[in-house]
Amino acid sequence: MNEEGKRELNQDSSRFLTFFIDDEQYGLNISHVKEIIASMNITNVPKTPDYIKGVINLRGAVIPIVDVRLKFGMDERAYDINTAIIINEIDNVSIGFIVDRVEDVLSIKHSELTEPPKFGTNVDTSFIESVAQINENVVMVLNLKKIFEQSELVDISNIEKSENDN
Amino acid sequence: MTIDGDVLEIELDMELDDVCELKEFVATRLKYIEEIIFVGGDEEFATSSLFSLLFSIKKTKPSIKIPLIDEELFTFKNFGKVYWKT
Amino acid sequence: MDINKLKEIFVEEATEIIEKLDVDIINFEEDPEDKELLNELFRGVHTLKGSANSFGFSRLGEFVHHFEDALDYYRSSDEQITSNIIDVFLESVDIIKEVMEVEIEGNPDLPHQYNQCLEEIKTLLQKKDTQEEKSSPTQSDLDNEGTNNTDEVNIEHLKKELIEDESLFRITLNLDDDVYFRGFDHSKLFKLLTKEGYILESHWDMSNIPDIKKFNPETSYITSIVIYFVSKEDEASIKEIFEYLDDTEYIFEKIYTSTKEAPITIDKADIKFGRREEDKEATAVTPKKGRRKSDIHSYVKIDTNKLDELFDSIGELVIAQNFLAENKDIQIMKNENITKTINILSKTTRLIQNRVMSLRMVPINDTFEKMKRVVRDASKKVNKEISLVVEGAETEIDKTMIDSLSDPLIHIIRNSIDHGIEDNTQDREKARKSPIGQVTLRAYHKGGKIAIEINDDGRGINKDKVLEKAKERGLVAEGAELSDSQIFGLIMQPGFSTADQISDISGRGVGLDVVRTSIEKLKGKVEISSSTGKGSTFTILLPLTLAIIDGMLVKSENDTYIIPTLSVIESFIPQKKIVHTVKDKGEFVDLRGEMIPIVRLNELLESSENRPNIWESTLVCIESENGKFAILIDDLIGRQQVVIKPLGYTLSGIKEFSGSAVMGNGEIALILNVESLWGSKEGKN
Repeated sequence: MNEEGKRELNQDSSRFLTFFIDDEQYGLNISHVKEIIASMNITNVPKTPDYIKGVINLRGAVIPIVDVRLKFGMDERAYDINTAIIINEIDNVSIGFIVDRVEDVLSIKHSELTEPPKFGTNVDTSFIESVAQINENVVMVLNLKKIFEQSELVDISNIEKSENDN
Repeated sequence: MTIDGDVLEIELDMELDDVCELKEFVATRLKYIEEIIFVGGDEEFATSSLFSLLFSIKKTKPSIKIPLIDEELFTFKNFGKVYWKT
Repeated sequence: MDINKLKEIFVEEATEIIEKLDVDIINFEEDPEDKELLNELFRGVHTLKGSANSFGFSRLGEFVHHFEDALDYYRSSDEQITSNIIDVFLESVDIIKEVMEVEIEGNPDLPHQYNQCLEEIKTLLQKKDTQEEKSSPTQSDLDNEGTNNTDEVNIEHLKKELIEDESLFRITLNLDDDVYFRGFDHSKLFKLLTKEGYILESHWDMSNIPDIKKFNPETSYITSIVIYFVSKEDEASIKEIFEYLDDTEYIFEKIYTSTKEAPITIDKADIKFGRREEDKEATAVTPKKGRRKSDIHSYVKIDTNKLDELFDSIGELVIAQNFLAENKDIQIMKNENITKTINILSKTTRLIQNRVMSLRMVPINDTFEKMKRVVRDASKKVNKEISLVVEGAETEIDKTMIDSLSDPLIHIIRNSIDHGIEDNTQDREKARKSPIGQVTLRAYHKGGKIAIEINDDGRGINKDKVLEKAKERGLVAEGAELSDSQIFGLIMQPGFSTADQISDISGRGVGLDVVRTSIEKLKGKVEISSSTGKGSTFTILLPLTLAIIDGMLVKSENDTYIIPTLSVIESFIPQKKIVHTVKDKGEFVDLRGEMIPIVRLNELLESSENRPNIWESTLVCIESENGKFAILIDDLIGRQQVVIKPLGYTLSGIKEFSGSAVMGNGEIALILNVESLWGSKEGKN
């Protein structure tokens, strides 16, 4: 493929890392995915919501880990050999997502992406940016920013308050 | 003391005995040596005879490069600046 | 490289130069004979001018240009530099700082005092013009320095290297040609001399050396060596060095002694300032190291982020190495070579770790130097004569802490001068003290920590007054019993100011609480001790580095937490009889008569609702700003040096933790923020 062809492809399609939770397939825009690691020892952090499993040491960086199942309001499930942690990064902030199983990277044309349905899944749909029909499967593309925002335990008023405390 | 091609590498802290040896070594091979440099860290010089030898070498073969004495001014780590007068 | 990058570099370099100007001016005031300092000032300003103009910072360039002219005049004239001129110099540096800022911001306004200060500089120069025609020095004057071999000029030049009490000696060695045979050598003399002082220069006459055929290494051909030597020792003890030489083989002359200069003559009304007689010892501890020409080192500037990255990688290396060392499969092999290699690996890794750590360490000297200006300004402002003594300036401290340390130091110093030192000399004389107030800055190592002391010999803190005021402001409950250190600690509470009248110096609405908060941010603490009539000491205790702390590892509900050892007083399993439960007030432990509240860590962290018996658990007694308290934990694991990591933006809002640490096994443990554990339980909000 020549350079021009590539650019065209990049313009009207994006690449997504897909993963499974139960039987549902989700996608994350690959540009924010830093790496995928096998599940490892997570240090519990008290006074955080359940879905924050704690923090891990990734080559010297301390990264908070969100269990996507719990975040989506599903039941917790014992980690197995397929359990993986996807490290995402936006604006230099990294968060890891625990997922059941990582699948392929898919190129999805923008024209194939549609508004998420308001029904038909067990999941809180506010995290879903769009859906795409790929062959037999439906891939739900997650809105990473939204998950990040909601994972932040700090809201501004809190910070100000604790600063006044000092 | 090692010779690397036509560059003779010596240490600043060689004793008088070493200087005697060096003199014997250099006297017969002066033709092949183009440069004498110092290797090692910040040692202090152990005998002034070494410097005399260097000047003697320079006198015998003016084209040889000896950075330590070629400059009019040289600075020792512990002994301040050195000015050579020839 | 784009223009912004260049600008960034310029700003950084310029800031460095400007900071040094301050320090150099103050040092020059102390030692007005040191023309080399003026030269250095001039060079700094000269460089600044060049780069300012090349970036189109014309206002900066213009100002610096005139300042340079003034410096140029004084460095080449013999005119006394009075305290007033020093004032103008310092003011100019302030203006330079301000102009620099507006230039960077692209702000079209000129700093407030810009024109006025410029006029003052010009006035200085006009005065000189009316005096006499002076030969204008050129850059080549500078360039000629040091290489000029005319003896007299050279000696004049060498004299400048001397500091107080040092003498310059000229030693001429004309050793006989059999010196080596006698077991002697010029090198031995050089070595012996450096034990008594230091050699500035030596001039070797090598004109009589034969060519190599006639050369005998065991004969000395060196005609003479002239050594310029500096020492504080007396002539007799230096002469002992030559006892193995024949009298004809050497000439030993003392050519100059740097006399102690009296402080600059200034008007009586003016405040004198600077090092005085009693500072001699302190001066001896830190000779003007950095400026010795013979100290030639080369430096590389490194972005601290890169150092951090390096440190992270080494942390990983340590973990990998631990993994190897503890690997069962490898241990089973019982292969001596492998064991040996792993041991070497482990030693080397630790060595590298320490080396990288040490890269972050810089002497506190520069920060202390800056404080001289602070003392000078503050003493003038409140009209008190102050002498500043600096000790331990060579103590090294983590680079990242240095920047955050200046403000607290400035604050404490101003506070000491403003509130600590007596308002007038009569009061001091009554208390049999020297009329000159003394402020001492001292840095030293104290049990794995860095201690920085700011001591004044003033009137001390009035405990009753502090307590009264604290009660007035509701900081302390009526009838509360407080220890001395707790009372002194009150002056660092927000909204506390002991001065009856808020002065311009230290009481600008914000008090010493700012000091406390900024030191706590550095994971350190401030201790105050004071004795009425004798003075006060503020001691800032800091961890050696921000990257590593000494932590106590504790277990609570199967999680490991770290308590900074700095805050731990002791840990123990209490006997049943010393544990008390007070209705509505909570649980306490009676520690040698002191009732200390107990905080159950698992409850505080909401990790479980277990309530084990206190006498079967471990208590870690903590000293915090809010008083002592004891943390109840399940178990003590041990003490360890841990690498600190910020908890990250996402989790930084949890006030119970100040950060996290990567432990030896690579796992993370959370570091407890002891200040908030007890405060939160008290519900002081």
